[in-house]
Amino acid sequence: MNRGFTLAEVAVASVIILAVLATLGIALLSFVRGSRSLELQDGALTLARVEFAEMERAELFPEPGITTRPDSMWGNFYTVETTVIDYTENTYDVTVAVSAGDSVSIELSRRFYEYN
Amino acid sequence: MMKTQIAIRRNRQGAALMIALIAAVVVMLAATLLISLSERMVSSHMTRIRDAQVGLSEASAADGLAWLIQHQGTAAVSQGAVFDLAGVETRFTLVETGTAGIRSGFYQINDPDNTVIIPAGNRMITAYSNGENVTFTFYSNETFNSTLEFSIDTDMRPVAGTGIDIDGSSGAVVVLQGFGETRLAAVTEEGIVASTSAGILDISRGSILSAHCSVNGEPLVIITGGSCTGSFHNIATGQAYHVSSPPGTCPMFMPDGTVFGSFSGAASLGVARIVDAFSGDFNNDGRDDLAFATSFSLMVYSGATGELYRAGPGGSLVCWGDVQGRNGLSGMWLLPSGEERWLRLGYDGFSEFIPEMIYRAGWEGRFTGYGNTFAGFIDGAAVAASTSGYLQELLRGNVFIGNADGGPFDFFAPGEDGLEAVFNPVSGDGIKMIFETMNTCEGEDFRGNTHVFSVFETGEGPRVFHSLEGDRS
Repeated sequence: MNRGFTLAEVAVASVIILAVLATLGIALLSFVRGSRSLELQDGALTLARVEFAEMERAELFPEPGITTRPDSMWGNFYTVETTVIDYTENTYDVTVAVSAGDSVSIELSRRFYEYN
Repeated sequence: MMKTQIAIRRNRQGAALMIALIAAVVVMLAATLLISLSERMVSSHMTRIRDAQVGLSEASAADGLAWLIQHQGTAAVSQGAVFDLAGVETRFTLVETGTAGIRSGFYQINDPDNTVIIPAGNRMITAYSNGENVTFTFYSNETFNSTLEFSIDTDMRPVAGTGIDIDGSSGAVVVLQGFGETRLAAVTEEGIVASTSAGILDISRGSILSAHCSVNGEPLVIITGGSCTGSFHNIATGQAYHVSSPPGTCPMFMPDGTVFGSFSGAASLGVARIVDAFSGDFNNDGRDDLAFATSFSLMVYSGATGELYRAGPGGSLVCWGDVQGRNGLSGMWLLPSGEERWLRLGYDGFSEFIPEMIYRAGWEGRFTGYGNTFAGFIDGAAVAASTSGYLQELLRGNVFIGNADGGPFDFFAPGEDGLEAVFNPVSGDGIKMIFETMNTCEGEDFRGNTHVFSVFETGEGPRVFHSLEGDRS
């Protein structure tokens, strides 16, 4: 008769455990969402870097203007937008923006010089 | 007894809360760890994005510094320079200057002996056959790495090639042969832009190819076996014509695209085989001329007047070359008596002259020079020599001359796994400038790479090449 916990004890303990579990749930959810977003951003960053590396390797730069193309990385789909503007008579500013939906976007810039 | 029961109940009550609290602490710790891990991942990712932009801004700034040196000279950057791009400020500090030496490089080519190597003016292009397809590879003249490679399915083999400028881009005309058939292909970075069958053509080691684009942009090529007759091909339309030139010369394109040679004239009878043909303004009249060397004679076609000047005093032609600012186009004949005779081109033909010591260094074949530096072949090796008496061996072996970096001529020597190159030896030693960099982004300083700029003076202004000396980031 005297063994066990009272209703009040159980109630207080349950509230604490529930509150803590809820916090953990939220943290887990946030971690999973964050990981997914990071994975997308990682892919976007890799695509942007590859885009510049390809331009430098081939020594070929796009014409002034905006070009857009779809691409994929690690099973995720992206839009790669390359903007080329004449910064001065002899220089071109190239900006590569890689996005996946509305939430993820990476933007990198590089300036190229014409030597002739 | 009553007191004991109460104590037990109180202890149990405390234990329940204690268990709940300990569980809560453990779970909260786990949550905190999770959140901090998340934050660390996000922060490390942000750092990677920032580093990527800092790297790109620094690379852009290095290009800008090279551009400044090329257009404003080394003095313009001796105090350092600052560039700004995408929120990153890159500061260059000059830490060392010295001698760069003659520029050299190495092209990695799998089977150089069975590869057609074409120094195509501004870049190197190769064509290689594995029996089933022919692979065309374009190389950078800065890094010597391949920038583009594509293949075509054919069992024909590339046997010769020459550079061609198509729409401002350095390409090549490649001769493919197989099963008694010859095919001409014009290749650029866009791929094969034109191709035609050329019937049966005799291509040998002594064949001389010269290519140019028509005013309509059609790739044209003249192929001779080193004699005064040859064939002219329009690779776009497939039209082919017989073309001939006076004895002691061979038909070829002038640098402006006009053809030296006749399409309608009777075939000339010339037995002398051309061993070298090259262009330049040899008589200083502002117009390009052509020079042809055989084993016995040196001939010049004046691009301005259309006149031909011949030098052939007897004996064998040992060496010849053009040295601007000294004796211009000249050659040395070894007479049967053992005497050496030097002739140089003046306004009205060749005349004898007494050469300076550097001319008597023992040149074989073509030499060239700029200022106080000569380059050519001595004792089978490609060398650079200066009027002060300094002589440097550059390459030995099966060395040939071409131009793959847009400057004066370069030397190339195939090796086991690639092609050694020495660029613009007549430009002599360059100046080496070493800069350290500091990047500032969002108020933070990041040490960058050490950049090395090699500057070579040429007749057309300085040429600048950039490389990194170890990554200090």
